[in-house]
Amino acid sequence: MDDLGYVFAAYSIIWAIMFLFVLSLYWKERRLRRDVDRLRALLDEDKRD
Amino acid sequence: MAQMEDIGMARRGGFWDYLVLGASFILMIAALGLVFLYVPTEETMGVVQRIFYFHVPLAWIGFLAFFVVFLGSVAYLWKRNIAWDNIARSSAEVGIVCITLVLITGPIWAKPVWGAWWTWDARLTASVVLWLTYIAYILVRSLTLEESRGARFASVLGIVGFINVPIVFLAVHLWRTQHPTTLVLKGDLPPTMLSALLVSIAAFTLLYVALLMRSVSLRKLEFEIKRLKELVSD
Repeated sequence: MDDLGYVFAAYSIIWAIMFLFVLSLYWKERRLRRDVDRLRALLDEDKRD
Repeated sequence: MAQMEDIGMARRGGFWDYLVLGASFILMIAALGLVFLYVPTEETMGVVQRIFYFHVPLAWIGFLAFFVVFLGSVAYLWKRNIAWDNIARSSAEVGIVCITLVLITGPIWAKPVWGAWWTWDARLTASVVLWLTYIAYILVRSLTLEESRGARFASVLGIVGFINVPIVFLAVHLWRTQHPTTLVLKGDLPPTMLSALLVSIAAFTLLYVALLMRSVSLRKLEFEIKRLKELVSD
């Protein structure tokens, strides 16, 4: 690998890992908000009953 | 239940989240432009030295993140408010990502310059110890059944573990190492290189703030789910 290849590898890894981290936060938030909505709906159902 | 009230409600990404993330993105593009179009190629190491402009800011942000862990841990042990532990834990996660990237980009830079991916010199070894300390900080919570106990253990580790940060930073001055010394503090960095480095540090600082805000918000959502589950089971 030439020197430019090392630079390309380093920057690609930085962006890839940062992107995956941001994406994982987004996925987690979506999943958690779905759970909150589901649990609130369950509580509302209980109150109505 | 009291703890739930302390940490507040999780909020969706709002104006400030997008502003900080957007500003970070613009500065990242500016930093990349400076690194590849403006800064001259370093004479000794050649083009591979350009890894420096993202490797160093990642290390700084890792240190900043662990400093926030330290402050959050002290505040949690003092006030016993779970909101402080929430901030400390979120900051530790971002810090671990940054130091992981430092430990990956370092060897990529070292291979063409030193002829070896890794050497067990003081700076590199101390960096691995730092990384392992904060991995332990995250893992220690899963070893205890009671959540507040796990938070207490982790806080102690968050305070004691911070000792590693000055050790990593000073390692190049205290021991003879292969790792370059801190040119920035000595004022040996040419203005063109310094400006690119500072823009990159600003970009990563804003990214850290944006990630910390989202991560803290996620932690609040987890608490909210726990509270709702308790209400449902009642």
